[in-house]
Amino acid sequence: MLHCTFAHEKVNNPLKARIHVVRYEPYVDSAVVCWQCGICINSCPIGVIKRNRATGAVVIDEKKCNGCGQCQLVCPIGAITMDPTRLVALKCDLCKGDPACVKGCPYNALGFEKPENGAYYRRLESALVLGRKELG
Amino acid sequence: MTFGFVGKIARIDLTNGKVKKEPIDDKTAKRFVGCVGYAAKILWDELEPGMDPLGPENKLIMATGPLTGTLVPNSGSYEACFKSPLTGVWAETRSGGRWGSYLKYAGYDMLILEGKSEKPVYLTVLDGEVEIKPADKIWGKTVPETEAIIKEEIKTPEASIASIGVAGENKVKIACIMNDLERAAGRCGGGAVMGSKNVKAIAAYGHGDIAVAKPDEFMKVLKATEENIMKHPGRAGMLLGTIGAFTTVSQMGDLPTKYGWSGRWDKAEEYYDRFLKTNYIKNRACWTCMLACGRYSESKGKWPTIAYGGPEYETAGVMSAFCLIDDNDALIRANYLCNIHGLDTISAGHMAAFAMQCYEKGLITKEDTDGVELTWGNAEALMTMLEKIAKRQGFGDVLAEGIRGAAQKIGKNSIELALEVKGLDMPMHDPRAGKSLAVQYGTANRGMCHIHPQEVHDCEHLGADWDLRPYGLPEVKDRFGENKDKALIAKLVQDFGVGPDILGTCKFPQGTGFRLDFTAALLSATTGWQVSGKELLKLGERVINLQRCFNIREGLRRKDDMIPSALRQPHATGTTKGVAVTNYEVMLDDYYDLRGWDKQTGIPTRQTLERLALSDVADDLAKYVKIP
Repeated sequence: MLHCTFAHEKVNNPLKARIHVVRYEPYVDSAVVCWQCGICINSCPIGVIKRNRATGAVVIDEKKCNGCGQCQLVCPIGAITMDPTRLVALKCDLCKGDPACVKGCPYNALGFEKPENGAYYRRLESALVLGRKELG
Repeated sequence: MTFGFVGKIARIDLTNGKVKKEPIDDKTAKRFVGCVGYAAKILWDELEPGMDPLGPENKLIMATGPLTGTLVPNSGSYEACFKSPLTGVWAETRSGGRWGSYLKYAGYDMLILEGKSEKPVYLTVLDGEVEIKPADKIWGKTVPETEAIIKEEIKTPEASIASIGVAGENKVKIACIMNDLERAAGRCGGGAVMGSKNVKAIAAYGHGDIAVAKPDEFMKVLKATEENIMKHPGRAGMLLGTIGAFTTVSQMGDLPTKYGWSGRWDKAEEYYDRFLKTNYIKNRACWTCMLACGRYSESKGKWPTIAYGGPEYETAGVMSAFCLIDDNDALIRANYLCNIHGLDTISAGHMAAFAMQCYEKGLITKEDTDGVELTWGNAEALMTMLEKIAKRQGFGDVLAEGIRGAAQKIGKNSIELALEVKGLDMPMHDPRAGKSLAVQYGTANRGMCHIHPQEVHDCEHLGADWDLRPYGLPEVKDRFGENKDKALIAKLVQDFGVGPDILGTCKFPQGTGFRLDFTAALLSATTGWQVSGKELLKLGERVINLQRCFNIREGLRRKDDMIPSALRQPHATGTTKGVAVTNYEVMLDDYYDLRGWDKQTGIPTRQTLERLALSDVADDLAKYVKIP
């Protein structure tokens, strides 16, 4: 979280981060980051959220964002936050294809995959869920 | 304003409910940095010597440092600083979790709590606004209940909350301040001070930035630091948590057993195995931590608990070997009880063991203890006593006074049995396993403490060197030897160990690759100052001397640096069998020489204070005592 804000704004501030680590008792510690699903693209009334084909990231143009918060409401996993001082929506832009959180994680717990491999990993995830169900 | 700091202190006068915002003074920051250094200067300037620590004139400072809340590894710390009701002298007590960082994001480096509220209150620090709110709903509640109710009431589910349990409310002198459910600013009775001010909790949350002076350099040094930590052999040990050292420490004769009768507990290996198999769930990290030494565990056996944080090594030692209780479920339960009631686990277990020692020697009987049989290994008695201490019921009221208070109430020379220095009871390390610890125990400013400033004897029995060889850390040939080297180790590692306390970070990475030069470089990049490793040691020495002056002003002298006579008795079993501390006075003389303190009185000489740029402190001190 801190790496994220530091890369984007050069300050230490987890609450302006675009990736979040949720702690919930008992003992849930989990990173939540945008899936780049794109539901927010159509929710934007002024059309400033667009997909970057090169990185696969869904990117908000923060200069044009008017802070209405529609995208935050439609996001299925709560990955969009509002910057309380600039009043614009913040979401993961995959750092132009070189995410700071991935570089910054000393435990290599985060990875970054090319967008063209995205479908394969989604399939794998579903297959594992189904496979485990069959095994009981 | 100096970078790294957010630049503001909130002075909260609880008597009339007023909040004053003050800027961080750059000159003081440069001289003492932040956290305990800065707070020591405030308490030095503002507290009258001899006043009642539980009276409204005491001040409780919740302090963070310039590195707290930044990307620096393990920087999620705060320290509570005050005059201790347990020892009557300087007290600092650190806690991890998130609260310290969240206080800075909320807009303040420090909170100073003054006076006393008429009715129970809690404080909220949300995005720069400090509010005092009635605590009727949460007074008397446990720590988890308090946190849940406050989060609901202020509609901020992500807020971080520091609070006290019933122990703090009852001004139990071994009460702690808890934050984020399971992290504790444990020692010295901070909870009692907070309780004496009628403050139940402080919630912090905010969106503020912490800017650094040189972002690119900061990132560069940070990378190098993290890489060094990741490849450091000590990190693997820390991943097992502090309790991971349980068996090793026992084998080295460093695990006080049966109230210090031995340093080796023969059941340690089985006990630890059982803990891993039946209780342990996962590791937990504090804010920005790379080590994740926190345990998460539960008990399903005779002493059931929900899944909860802990136990640490100290807790495990004091609730098992020290009381001879061979029941790991009892440990989890005892740890849980202490956490929800806000009791310092070390002191609470220590008091139970002290009572068992007195019971065995016949100084107290069943009539004194409300019918509780305080025999060695009695887990039921431990649980009963913990509840009684927290609620100050019956014999618990005696033990709630802390080691000196309890010994005084029990009488019959029971103080002779007590393991304490300056009124703080002994944690779970034994100087007979490494003699430099005797000097640390005797001279640490907050009393008999293993970790403030630092666990100096690690270099003797665990092979730690903190990468301090270039700064003159001697090789240890004989850990049982009592020579000049031991005083030198103590002094050097103390000066080094106070570093995290003034920067607002954790002490643990110090032994796992967070070298002194990295610390200095990160501080320089964050604040924009130019600080070298050597200068950081000198800053540490300055802060230690300032705290020492605080204690001298409260009336402490050389006699208060003496270790308890029980430590001069030889161990009965284990690798340290027959070892005792025999030449303590000589080591202390050497230590005073190195520090520049007068050997007769223990007071820092004027020359020493002037060398450390503390002449103003010397002038103040001269009003109370004759400075040699």
